[in-house]
Amino acid sequence: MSNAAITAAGAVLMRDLQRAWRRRGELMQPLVFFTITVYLFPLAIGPADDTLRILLPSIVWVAVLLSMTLTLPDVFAVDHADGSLDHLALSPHPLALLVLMKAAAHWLSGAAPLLVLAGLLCAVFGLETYTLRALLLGLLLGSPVLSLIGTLASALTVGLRGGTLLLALLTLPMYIPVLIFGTSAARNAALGIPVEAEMFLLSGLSVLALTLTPWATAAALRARLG
Amino acid sequence: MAHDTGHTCKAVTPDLHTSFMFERFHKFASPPHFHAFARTLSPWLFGISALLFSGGLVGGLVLAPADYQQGDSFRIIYIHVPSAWLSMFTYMVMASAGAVGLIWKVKMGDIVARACAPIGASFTLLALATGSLWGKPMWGTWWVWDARLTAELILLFLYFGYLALQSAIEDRRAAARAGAVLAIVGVVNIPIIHYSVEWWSTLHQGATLTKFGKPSIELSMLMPLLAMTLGFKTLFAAVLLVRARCEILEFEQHTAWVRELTTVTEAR
Amino acid sequence: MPPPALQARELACMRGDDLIFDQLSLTADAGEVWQIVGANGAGKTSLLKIFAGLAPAAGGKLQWRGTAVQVGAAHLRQELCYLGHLPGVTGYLSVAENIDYLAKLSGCPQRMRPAEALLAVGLAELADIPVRRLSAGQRQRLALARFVLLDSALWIMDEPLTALDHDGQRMVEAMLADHARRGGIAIVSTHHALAVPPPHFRRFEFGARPTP
Repeated sequence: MSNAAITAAGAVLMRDLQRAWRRRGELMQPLVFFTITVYLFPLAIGPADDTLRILLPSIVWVAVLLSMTLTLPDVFAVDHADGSLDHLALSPHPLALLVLMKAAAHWLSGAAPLLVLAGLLCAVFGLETYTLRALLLGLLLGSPVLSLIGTLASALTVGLRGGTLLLALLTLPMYIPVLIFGTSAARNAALGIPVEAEMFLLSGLSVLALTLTPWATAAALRARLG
Repeated sequence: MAHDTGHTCKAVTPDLHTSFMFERFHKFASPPHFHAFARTLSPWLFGISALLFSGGLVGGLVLAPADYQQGDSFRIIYIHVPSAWLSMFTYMVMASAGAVGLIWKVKMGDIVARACAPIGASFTLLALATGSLWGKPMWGTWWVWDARLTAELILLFLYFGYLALQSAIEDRRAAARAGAVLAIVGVVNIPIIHYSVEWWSTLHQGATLTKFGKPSIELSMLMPLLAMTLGFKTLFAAVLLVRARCEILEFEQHTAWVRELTTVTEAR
Repeated sequence: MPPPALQARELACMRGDDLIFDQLSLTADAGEVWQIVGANGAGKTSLLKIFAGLAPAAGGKLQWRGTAVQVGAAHLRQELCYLGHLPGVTGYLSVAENIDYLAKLSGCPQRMRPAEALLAVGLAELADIPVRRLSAGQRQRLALARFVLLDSALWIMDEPLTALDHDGQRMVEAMLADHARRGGIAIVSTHHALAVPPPHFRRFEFGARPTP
């Protein structure tokens, strides 16, 4: 990998992060959506009900997935709107590397705050420490997959009418394995069962997504820009 | 201005040996030849599949003995199992054809991939419906949280996603290319989804619809199943050819040979 | 390495189900500035996208320096500077940050420092202003600053004179003339009159017979 490619990759990452920071008011919106979604459940179930405590990790996971689909269109939509997506495609540096940086920027600005908030909410709701740790570790290990697959879906749906809904339709089925392993880890932790298997599986999925999705995303961008 | 010079568009061809087989294959990659070939072949395929269906249904519904556990209600497998297999098979064909269109830029690849999608979705719906019908007499509910059925439902979502993407993108070729990327990613995802759903269902000790005594499935039960599977496969091929012909006409509507086709029928 | 030349032979282009153009041939050699003219919807933008390697041609062949160009061809991207319909500048970044980013993203070597390029297009005082506060003409100048900054053999510009004032138009014409004198190739789509010195100037009109 040449120096110029690394410089370009760094530039893409910094630009996305700078842009996110300067629009930080808008970044709050998915966090608010996440909080509202989680709070809908005690309102729907009943406050003194033990069901909520048992279901809380699953509720948090589902809310994370839904909130991610709200932040993902912006990965490419903003670039498409001002015409800078062409520059990305025309850069001689490997497009797979550049879109990987876009996914990384999304993870840092979109996913990581969500994870922190998820931890805070669970602590507020009084989730036991062991379960909370398993939930957060699972979210941490599985969130790269969410950002990477979401970036791919964002590239596939960039500029389309109704793109956000279509993006959710495409990503949520592909998120199901991460959801299953993550919630399984949290539930097993609550029962005192060791959760190494789920953690390894989630890490494995992240590594797989890391190696395969950048190329798929680059191909998707070139297919859509043509 | 843009005057039509007929078939100016050439697919990028891979390095070909000039053997007879490759020449034959290369011919099918050309839309007008495929169109004509599909027109002659599909009636035969429909006929063969009708024969296989009648043989399979007679064998399965009448001749095979009733299952000692489930009585006659197990007979739904003669539709459920082949349609589930075909739903997976169709996805593989869709992804492979899409890959051919994406990587080697062969137009027929794009056309076949787009043609496959509604067929695969239909098979998936059929598998889900028959699975539901099977579950009702066995467990008393219309939906069973069986690992295979759940994975089948997720496959239906993948098909819906593909179809939604195709209809959202206006340019047909760009839509086919984007769909190919989605289908290839889907193919990688499918084993992962199956494994995770198995994991999930064993946690809950869920019902298993497809519990056959593996070593001891009787021949008289197996034969009709194979016949039905082959029948479904030939039906799939026949319907695919018909749909592919429609897609070809839509893709190639600007070319001379398509104009000729439509004007000749008008003259009559 | 073969000399810089863009050769298009019998290109065809589809937009959706319509054939926009067919049998389009053009050869651009070093030192030539081509002006592409045509009615609305004739396919000028599509043609420029095909030349840039952004969109695939529905038929025909395209070559840069003798090597075939497909979508995403690396040898073309390394020497290309492209201006599309939109300026392609990021609203939430400052002018200086924008030019920095675009320079790093491109593969072409820089002919001067970014600050000097901003000076050349008249944006030196606005270097730290966020782009979203600029006018359309100023954004266009920022987009053009790349062409001044980078040393690229092939320029492809889609309506570069949009939103520019009289001075801006003169600036673009001077840029093009200078680029041609240094042996570069420029393909420009515009309906304005372009005052480029005669030996370098070529014209391509959609629907007319190709002029030698």
